[in-house]
Amino acid sequence: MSYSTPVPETEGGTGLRVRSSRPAQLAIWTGLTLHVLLGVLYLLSGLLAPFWAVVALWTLWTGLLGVAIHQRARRPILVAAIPIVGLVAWAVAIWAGFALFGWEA
Amino acid sequence: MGQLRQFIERRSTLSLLAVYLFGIAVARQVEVYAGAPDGDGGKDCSVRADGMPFPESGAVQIRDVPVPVEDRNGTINDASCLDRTRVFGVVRAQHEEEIRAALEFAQEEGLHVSVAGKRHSMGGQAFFRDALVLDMQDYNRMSLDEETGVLRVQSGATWQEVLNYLHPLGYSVEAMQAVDILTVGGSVAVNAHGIDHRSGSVASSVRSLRIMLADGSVHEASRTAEPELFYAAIGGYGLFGVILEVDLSLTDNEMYRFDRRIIDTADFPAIFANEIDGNDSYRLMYVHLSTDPRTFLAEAILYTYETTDFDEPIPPLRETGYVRGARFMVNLVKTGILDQRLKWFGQKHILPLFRQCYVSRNEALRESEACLVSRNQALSQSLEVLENKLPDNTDILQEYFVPRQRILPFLDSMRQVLQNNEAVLINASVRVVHQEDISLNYAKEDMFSVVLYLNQKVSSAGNEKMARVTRQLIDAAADHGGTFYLPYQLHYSRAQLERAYPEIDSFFALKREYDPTLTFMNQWYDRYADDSLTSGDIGYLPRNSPHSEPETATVVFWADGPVPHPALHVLSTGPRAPPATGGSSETEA
Repeated sequence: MSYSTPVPETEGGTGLRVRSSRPAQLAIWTGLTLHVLLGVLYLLSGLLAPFWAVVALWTLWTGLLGVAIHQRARRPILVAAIPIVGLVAWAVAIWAGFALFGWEA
Repeated sequence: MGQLRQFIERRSTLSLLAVYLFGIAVARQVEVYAGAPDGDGGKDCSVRADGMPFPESGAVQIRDVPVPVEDRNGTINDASCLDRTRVFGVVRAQHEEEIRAALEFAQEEGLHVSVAGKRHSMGGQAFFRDALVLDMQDYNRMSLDEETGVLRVQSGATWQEVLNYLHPLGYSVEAMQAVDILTVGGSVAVNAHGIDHRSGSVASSVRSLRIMLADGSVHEASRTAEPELFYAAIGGYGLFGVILEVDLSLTDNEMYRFDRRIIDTADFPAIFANEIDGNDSYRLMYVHLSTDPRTFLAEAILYTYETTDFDEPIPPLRETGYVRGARFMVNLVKTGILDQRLKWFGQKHILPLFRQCYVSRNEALRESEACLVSRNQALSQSLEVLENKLPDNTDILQEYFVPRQRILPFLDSMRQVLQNNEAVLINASVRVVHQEDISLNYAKEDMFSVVLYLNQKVSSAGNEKMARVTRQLIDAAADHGGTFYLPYQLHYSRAQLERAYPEIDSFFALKREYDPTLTFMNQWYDRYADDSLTSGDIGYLPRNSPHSEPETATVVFWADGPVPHPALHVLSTGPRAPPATGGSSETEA
C-alpha cells in the first residue's frame, strides 16, 4: 500500500489523531460511528436473509470499513459517506433478495 | 517511518480480519436462533437424552418388498426429537391399494405397522421399533360435496391444504387444531381440538370415517354405522386401523373482527361464562397466559373473533410474516439470553403492531382500530415460529384438561409446580373443550384445557426434570378432577393413566378385538398395555422410573429386535416390570 501524499503521523500510531481540521475529525468519527451501528443491522440481516447472504453482506460491510479506515486521512468526507453507501447497499440487497430470491421475513 | 507505516497497516488488516471473523460468528449464531430446522423432517437432536447411542440400522433383512419402502432399516423421530427409533422402513402411500399391499406384506413378514402423519405426537405414538411405518402425507386428496356441505378428505392432507382448498369455495372447517401443519388423520387419531370454542374437538365435526383394518377390509364408520369402531378410531392413536378418509362438516368462511384484551386470569372464567359462552357472535377464542415471573399465569391476553357485517369479497389467505424475527426472540428467551419479562411485554405491546389484519375501506373509515380477518386466516397458524435448530434443547408440548370451575385452583397448582421445578415455559394457553363421547375420552364433561409449551435441555438431567414436572402436573390435574392429553411424552405411570382414563383397559381390549394380531402398534400402546411386546422399555426413559419398582424393573434398550445389532446395548433383561403403583409424584420422585 502506498500513499500519494504523506499521511500525517500520530503519537500513538493509531492514525486517528491526525492534525486535521475539526470538521474533518467530525466527519471521520461520525462516519465510523454510524458504520459500526450499521454493522448491527448487517449482522441482524439473518432475520431476513439466509446465512450465505449475511456472509456476503458482512463481507461488504467489512470492506467498507476497510475503505473508511484507509481513506480517513485523505478523504474524511468519504468516511462520512461510507455508512450511507452501506445503508443503501443493504436496502438494495434485501429488496433484491425478497424480489428475486423469495426471502421471507 | 516506513516500518511504522507497515506496522499500522498490518495491524489494521489484522483488526479488520478479526472484525470480519467476529461478525461471521455472530451471524452464524443469529442463523441458529432464527433459522428453521434443516430438511423436511424437522430437527433431529444430535444427542439422545438418555446418553445411549443411537439405534443402529440393519435390523431386518427382507428382500422382496411389494411396495416402495424408504429409509430401509433407518431411523425415525418425532417432533420432540428425543424419540429416534429404528424402523423397518417407511412407505409413503399414495393409493389405497398401496396401503393394503403394505398391510399384507407386514402381516406376511410379521412386522408391526405404525401410521404416521407429521409425527408431532411426542411419545412414539406414530412409530414402533422395527415396524413398517405408513407415512400418509402423500395420501392427501379431497373433494367437496356442495349439496351436503361435507368435505371428504384423505387422511394425509394437512389442515393447511384443507383450508387452501376450501378458502376459494367460501367454506371453512368447523373444528381443527390450533396449527394447520398437521394432518387430518393425525388430528382425528388424537382427537385434537383448537380455537373454535363452540365446536370443541375434531370429533364433533367428523361425520364418518373410512378405515382399513389389519386384514385389509375397509369399513365406513359413523355414529350410526359401526359406531364402536367410529368412537374407538377417533382418539384411537392409530391402533385400530388406517384411517383412509374423513368426512368433515363444514361451515362458512366469514370475516371476523379480531380483538384482544389484557385481563387478570382470575377474571377469565367469569368473562367466558358471562360474555362468550352461548354468545353466537363470538366464533373463535383462546387465551395466552403470562410467562412473566411477576405475573406468572396470573395475567392473560384474551383473543376473540366476533362476527361482523362485512360484505366485501373475502381476501385470499396470506402466509404468516416475520417468522425469523419472532423465532429469534423466542429462542433468545428460551435460552435465557432475553428475559421472560421482555417476551411477555412483546406479546402484550409489540406483537399487535405486526398483526395481520384485513381492513376494508369502509371499515377503515368507521373504526381506525378495526382488525378484520377471515375465519380461514385465523385458523391458518403454522408452527414455524416455534420450530428451531438449537442443537441442545427442544420444546415439549403438554396439555391438561380440568373442569371449568376448577381452572383457577388448577392454575395455582400448575404455577407452583412450574416454579418449583424452574421449568422454562415458552407459552401457555387456555382453550375450550366439550364433553366427548369417544372411547378414550379426555373430556368427561365440559372443560378448559391448558396447553403448555415447555423447553428442555437435551440431556438426562433435562429429561428427568421434564418427567418430574409432567408427573406432578398430571397429579395436580387429577386432584382437580382433570385429565391429561395422551399424544405427548410417556413420562406418566400406568397408575396415572388409569386415574385419568379409567376406561383404558377396555380401550386396549377393544384394540385387541379389532386387531388381534397387534398389527397396528406404537410405543405408547407397548408401554402401557398389558400385552406389551418389549417390557414397555422402548425409548429413552426406562421403565424403572420413580413410578416403577426398582427391584423388578427391566431396562432394555433396543435389545430384543428381530436381528439384534452388535452395537446395541443390553443393560439387563428380565421379566416385565409390574404396573407402577402410582400415587403422588412428589413422594415418589
